[in-house]
Amino acid sequence: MSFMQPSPVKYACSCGILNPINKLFFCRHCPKLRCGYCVCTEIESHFCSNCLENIPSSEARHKKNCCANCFDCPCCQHTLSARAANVPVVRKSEETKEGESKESPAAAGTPPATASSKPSAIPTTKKIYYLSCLSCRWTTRDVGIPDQGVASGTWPENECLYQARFNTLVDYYQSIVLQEKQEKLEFMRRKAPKQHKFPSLTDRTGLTVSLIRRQIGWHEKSIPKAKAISIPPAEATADVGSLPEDIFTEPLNLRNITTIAQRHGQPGDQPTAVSNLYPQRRSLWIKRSLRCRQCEHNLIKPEYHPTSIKYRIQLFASYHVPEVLMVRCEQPLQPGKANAILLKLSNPTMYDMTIRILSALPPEEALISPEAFQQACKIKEEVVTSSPLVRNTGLTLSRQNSTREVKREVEDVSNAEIVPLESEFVLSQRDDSKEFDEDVQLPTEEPKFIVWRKGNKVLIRLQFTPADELPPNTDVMLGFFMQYTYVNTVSNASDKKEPTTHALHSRIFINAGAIEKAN
Amino acid sequence: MEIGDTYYSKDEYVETASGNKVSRHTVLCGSQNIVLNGKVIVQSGAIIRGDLANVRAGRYCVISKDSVIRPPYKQFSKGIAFFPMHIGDHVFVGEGAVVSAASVGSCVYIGKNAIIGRRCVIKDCCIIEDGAVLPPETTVSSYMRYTAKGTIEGGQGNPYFVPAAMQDEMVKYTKAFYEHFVRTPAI
Repeated sequence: MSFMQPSPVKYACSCGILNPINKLFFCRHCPKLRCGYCVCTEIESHFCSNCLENIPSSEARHKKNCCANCFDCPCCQHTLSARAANVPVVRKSEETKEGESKESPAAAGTPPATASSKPSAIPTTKKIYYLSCLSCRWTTRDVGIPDQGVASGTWPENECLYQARFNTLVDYYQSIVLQEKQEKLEFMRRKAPKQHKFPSLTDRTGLTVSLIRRQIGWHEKSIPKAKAISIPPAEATADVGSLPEDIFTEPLNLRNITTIAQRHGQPGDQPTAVSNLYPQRRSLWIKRSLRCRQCEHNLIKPEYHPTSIKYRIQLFASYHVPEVLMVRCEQPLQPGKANAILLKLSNPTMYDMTIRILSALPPEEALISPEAFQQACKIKEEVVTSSPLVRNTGLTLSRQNSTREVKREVEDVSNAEIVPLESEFVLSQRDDSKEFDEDVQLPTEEPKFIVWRKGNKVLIRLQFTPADELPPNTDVMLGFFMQYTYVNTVSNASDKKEPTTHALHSRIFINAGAIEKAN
Repeated sequence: MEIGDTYYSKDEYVETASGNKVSRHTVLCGSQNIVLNGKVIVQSGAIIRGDLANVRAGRYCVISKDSVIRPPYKQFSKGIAFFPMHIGDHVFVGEGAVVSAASVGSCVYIGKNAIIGRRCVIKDCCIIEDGAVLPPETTVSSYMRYTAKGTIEGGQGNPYFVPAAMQDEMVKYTKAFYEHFVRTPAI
């Protein structure tokens, strides 16, 4: 049993998709299970995953979401690391000779003879740096980028041919946006009636500020109108030039041609030859915070700091929903033959839970309706509106416009009949100190299906019968509803102080294993 | 799924006062430089090269069969130097893995036959997939998954690559592994 293997126990999310419990979240306000598909994602912070530096979002936008110091290999997209080499510097001569270093005997351009050819000079060494990929052995010397005197910060930008044109186009469109915004504002101002509560004297007499100003002889007080800068429009040309002659004569060396991934890594010029590859600035990574799509409460919110692994808000399903672990089946699985499965349930909450295992959805009145629940914990409106992202980007995330939850039926994949437990049972609260207690269990009257009980864990025996017609090697899926009491500690209404208890249910599917071959 | 019991014979494993369980069929070079902080399992065939530099492993680590823990080196102009290696708590090192990282954070899962090049930095809550090869001096930041294809995926808050509750999962897994690593009952 490995940590990486998929869990045989799957919970049906409120959207109908089956997920193991570690991929699910639990919205305390809805209260429902949420998976990665029923959440909104927000960017919490930007950081560089190589130098682990936190970069504010405005700076990240300014730097085009790239790290200033780290580079990726254009060949294999791995991180480049700066290598140092000592070169003998010949004094009195202006040109520093690039000598041979131990680390890259083949890469340096000048032969070692040049440095030693001037015996009159005093040999001193200077540290120079170049970037090298430790994964594919690509170096900046391969493409003729000169070595640098400092390890970071001085690497030249890869200015592509169209950079100037691209920048003017960006400026042009930005000015157009500005102009349109201003025109719209002007239009709204003219259309809208005067907002003053008390009309001023000038309004009644028909004297406007601009009229007075004109009479006095002052110039018009108005903001200068933004004008779109004019740029030379692009011109289409029919002349695309002819193919070079040698394309038909020279044999093609595929080693010198870039791959698609390499070209896409350098979208500005998309080089075809490997000699034009250039170190790429490393893209930034993000930390995400997730929100419930229904009520827009945060489900998880990580800490800003890149090295921190903590969360400020963490509503994992494994903190609220009883966890079901499959232990084993009692007998080899045979079609149509009664069997029993041992399940270990644990209560992660600080309150005792009453659990029922049912084969069908419990009657509706026993459950709480989600609307009633939301009424019960009326959420303060400013929680939603205070989200800076919502305000700044103007996303339509307001309560009315939030994405409607798509009601999807959970696909019933079970192919076995379970025998529901005859009675409910209580799972006691989690108590971490119990772990160190002496194992003294008072013999209590337990229902028959409880095999073992310790602290917040219980081992139950659930009887089931796989369907008759199952061929060998098909997986037996058990499906059941687990109803549990959940103590809601988020009651935002001021009149209710004590937490309220609700009966919730989740649908669980267990892959019990494959049908054995009949002997 | 519940972890099954792993049995070991009394003669094979040495159990220390702090709860470390170390197989006798391991190569622990320079054992005075190896610090196991308690409840660490070192399974048979594992090699820990404490003779090169200090190796420290936190609590509840699992060093599986035939894995190699080797402090990283760096080449200087005047020869090479080895650096001490730190492994955090609740780290699982899979079978046949070769770890030569400068530091391994807490709650890290290193898959089977993974190779971690010298002077890599692996932060907390990472997953290194089975058979992944990390080139030297790679940094894997928190909540990232290094795939066998050689790409880095995930990030905190992305539930598809590394579980959001990776810390709890690894704590639970390594504790359960330790509790289910039991001596063969005498017959």
